[in-house]
Amino acid sequence: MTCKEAIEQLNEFLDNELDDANYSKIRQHIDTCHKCCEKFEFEQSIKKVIRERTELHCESVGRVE
Amino acid sequence: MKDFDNQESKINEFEAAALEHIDSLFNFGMRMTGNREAAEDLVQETYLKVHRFSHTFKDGSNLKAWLFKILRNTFINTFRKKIKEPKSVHYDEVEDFFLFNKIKTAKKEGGYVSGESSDVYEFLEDEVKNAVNGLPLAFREVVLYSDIEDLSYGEISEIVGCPIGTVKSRLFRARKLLQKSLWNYANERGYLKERQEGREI
Repeated sequence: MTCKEAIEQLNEFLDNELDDANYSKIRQHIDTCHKCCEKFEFEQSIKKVIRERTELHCESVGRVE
Repeated sequence: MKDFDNQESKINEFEAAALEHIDSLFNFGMRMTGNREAAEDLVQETYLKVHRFSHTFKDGSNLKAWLFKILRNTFINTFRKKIKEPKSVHYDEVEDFFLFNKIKTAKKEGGYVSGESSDVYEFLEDEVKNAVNGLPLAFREVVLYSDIEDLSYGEISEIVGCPIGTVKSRLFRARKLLQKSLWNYANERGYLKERQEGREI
């Protein structure tokens, strides 16, 4: 797998939308390609930060009677 | 009588399962309306509809997606908002890995203030919320479904009533816009300092 091919599927990879075979191919590529690894990790951390900072804490959530 | 009791218990079970998603629905309501009271009304109205239309839910189908679909429709009807792809957004000008490249360049040029290890965490701070809230509705909702609620492209497609291809294109564009917006916030908040020559990064 080339870097271009891996990057084309970056979003699907991060969103768990790939089948096992494709997921493994990309995983393998990332494990051996420093440049792609850096980028994938960065995008993954943005996704994580968006989740953590956008989600409201349970205690602040209003209840509907 | 026994049938009635069974029916009653089935409804109670269904409503209890639906209520487990109340925090997710409220969070979504907050992000879409930007207003606590409006979000609470939206969630309340949604659960009234869930109660009224529980018989239309098909056993075995996705409850969370069904609830979000009701919430979304309620939002559109209540606020008379149209959720469609904006024409005026220039997402195509945002390159792939926009933020990654910007930070890398800024660091190289000595303009990045933040630490080495946890760049994104330090860099983004509360701007994330503003950046998400600033996205056009059609883009904002797909980010919320995917990044916050972990819904699959297929589930999102079901909720918004668009093909999976459209969902993907909106989501990827939304992420690009978010990165651009985060970069702008970071500049405004002074996470980045000007280069010594006085030129802006």
